[in-house]
Amino acid sequence: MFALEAFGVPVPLLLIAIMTFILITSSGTMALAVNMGYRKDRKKTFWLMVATALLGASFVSMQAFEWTKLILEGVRPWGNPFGAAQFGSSFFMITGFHGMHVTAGVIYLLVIAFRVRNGFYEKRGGNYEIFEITGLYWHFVDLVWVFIFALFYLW
Amino acid sequence: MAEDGTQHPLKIYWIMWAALFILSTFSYLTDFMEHGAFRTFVIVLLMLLKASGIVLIFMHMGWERLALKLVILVPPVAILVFIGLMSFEGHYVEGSRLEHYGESTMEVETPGHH
Repeated sequence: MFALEAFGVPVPLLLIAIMTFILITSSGTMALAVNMGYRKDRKKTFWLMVATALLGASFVSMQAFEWTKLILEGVRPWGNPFGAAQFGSSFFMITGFHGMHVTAGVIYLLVIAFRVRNGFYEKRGGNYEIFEITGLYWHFVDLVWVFIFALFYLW
Repeated sequence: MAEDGTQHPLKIYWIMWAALFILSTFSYLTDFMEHGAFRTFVIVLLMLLKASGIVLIFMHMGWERLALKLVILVPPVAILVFIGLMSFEGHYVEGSRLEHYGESTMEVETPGHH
């Protein structure tokens, strides 16, 4: 707990707040994309998914910036100048896995979005369940961030 | 998957979206509160509210049958109970060591570099 207070200084948490709002916004655009998918509105689905992917990409970029800053301040997976070494390990492992999933999600979203635009699913009998699956993946990534935000940054 | 047809009204997504923004703003504001049990409680409460909203509305679990809800939600709760029990046990062992040996086994010798 004592280690986390080191991140309570205003500027880093401001970045984290912006990242949080970006991820929530992307979850909203994804929910709309899923809905448009059910309505078989391919154009809107495509653009909403691209918007979601762009928001996800900006999230990962900000996370890369945040990691750089922490590493320059001396935080490592095996040590943490602000407190318990375990904080460094779990922080980098958990936010790293989360960031990796966001990155994978961005690629996944773009693949599905372009398939939608090109009519890939029409050729396969018009089964649009893929949106629900993509949506579930993306919302889960957002869900994990809700827990990370509360337990790592705010606690 | 939504069983009750193909499309939910958009309105509920806008409401959920706005709710997530408002709750997150409050989450952020907890950082300016006095540290203590009350602040921790607020953080956890807001976290659970946001998580429930995402799972129920965005992930459509609210439209699922009860059996599926239970299959998904009960195992994580069971794990949390297990973690709680282990933590309780750990503090008990720590307490009895302090009582009988007079020293803590949980103190970190040198934080940081190895």
